[in-house]
Amino acid sequence: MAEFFIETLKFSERLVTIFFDSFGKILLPGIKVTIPLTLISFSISLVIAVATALVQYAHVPVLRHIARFYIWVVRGTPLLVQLFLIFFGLPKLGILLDPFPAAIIVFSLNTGAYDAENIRAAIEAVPKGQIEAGYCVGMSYMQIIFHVVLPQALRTAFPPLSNSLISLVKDTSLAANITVVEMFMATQRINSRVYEPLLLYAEVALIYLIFCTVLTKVQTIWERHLRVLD
Amino acid sequence: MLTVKDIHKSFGNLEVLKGIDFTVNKGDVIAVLGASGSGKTTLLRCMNFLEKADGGTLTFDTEEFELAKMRKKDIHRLRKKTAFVFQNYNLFRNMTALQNVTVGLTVARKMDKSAAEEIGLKMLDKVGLLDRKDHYPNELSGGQQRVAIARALATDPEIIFFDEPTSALDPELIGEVLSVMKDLAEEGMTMVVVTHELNFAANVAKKVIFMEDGKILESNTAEEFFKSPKEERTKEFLRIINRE
Ligand SMILES: Nc1ncnc2c1ncn2[C@@H]1O[C@H](COP(=O)(O)OP(=O)(O)OP(=O)(O)O)[C@@H](O)[C@H]1O
Ligand SMILES: [Mg+2]
Repeated sequence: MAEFFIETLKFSERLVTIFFDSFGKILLPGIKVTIPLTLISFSISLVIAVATALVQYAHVPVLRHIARFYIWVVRGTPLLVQLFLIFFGLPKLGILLDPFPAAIIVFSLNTGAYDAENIRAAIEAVPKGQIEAGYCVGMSYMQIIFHVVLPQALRTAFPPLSNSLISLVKDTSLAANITVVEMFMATQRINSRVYEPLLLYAEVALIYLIFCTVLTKVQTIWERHLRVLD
Repeated sequence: MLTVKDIHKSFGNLEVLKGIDFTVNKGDVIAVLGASGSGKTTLLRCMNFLEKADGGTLTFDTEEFELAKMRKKDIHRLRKKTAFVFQNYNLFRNMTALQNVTVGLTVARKMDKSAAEEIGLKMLDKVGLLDRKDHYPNELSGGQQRVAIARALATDPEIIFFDEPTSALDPELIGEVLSVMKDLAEEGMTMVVVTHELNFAANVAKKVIFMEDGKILESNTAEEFFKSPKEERTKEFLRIINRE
């Protein structure tokens, strides 16, 4: 009985030790890789999304068809397949990418396609009278887009855009499949040495949870400070 | 200053403007009256190119344009000489009152910010809303239309079009807006005002145009129009509206 007790205690002690030893080793690539990967990809995706939404809204010939095609392809194929295609597939065409830039490209394009639709919906929700008023004060179409339509649309699109940022944090774990040493990959490596999958995967899940919770809080606070349009 | 001739406009099969001619001279205050659906808004919108007319010409000062074939460049240039006050204000929702008033200067006319703000503050003061300069449209409770008028004034237009500027307002606010417009008229501002306010038309306007079914039925000085309307339909319209 006493022996069993001691065994259990030793076992728990081992778990606690592994937990604390690995925490920093998982968090560090989280801070050094997962967060930059997320932020860089998201920033690029916003530019792509705004451009993609605008060429459709403004009915720019050719480009708007390219935009539709891009959205159609990206939203109709799995993210994991896209990662493989770019990282393992493109070298066949002589295009060799390092894992991190390959991941950036895929996440930017993927998130950009989804956000383009969010932004387009928000742009289309800007009342026509706002645009007419813009013309009447003498603004050009482009000036109206950048000073009236987009600021209002980005405000409207704030909640869906925040949600896609939060999804992206979690989706970056897929980059482990193309050898990017982000949090999840780091966890897998630790696990292959100590073999405590339950503990370690729960631990990395906890860290993702913390990241997302912080983001959700920031979103809520930020949203409270944004002005209501109507 | 501004003459339109033979404006035609249809929406699908519905012919809304059936050949309209009229002239706005400098300093004119013209009230456009007419029953709902007679085409008043459409006329104003065609004159400011918010709607593309199917036919007719527009002469501004000495330049003549075919309304159906206007170039973007000309539209843009002519619009900078005019201003428009909408029934539902259309203030920019992402801008403060002051930004609303100055954006036509800073963005559209590339004026520097401090010069534009000086003008903007002056215009807000003129409409009595200087203390609300940092309020956004949805916080302007009741002051929206006056900010919209300040916005129209800021760009120093040669002519201002008003489309029923008071008909979306609560009764207690109508007086404030009309008094601002009366001041403008007295200062010599050229204005074309679609309105249902007969008092305004009678006391402030110099000319009255009465529209019916896409045509101008009667056009006269305000005094003559109210004292001795010529057309039977005009008399009936005045009777009905006076009874309301
Ligand atoms: N964009 C549009 N598409 C189709 N029909 C329109 C459009 N705008 C106006 N109309 C129609 O044209 C006619 C004239 O409309 P308009 O708004 O010019 O009248 P109005 O004299 O300003 O009336 P009100 O006093 O109600 O404002 C109406 O029958 C209206 O339904
Ligand atoms: Mg109307």
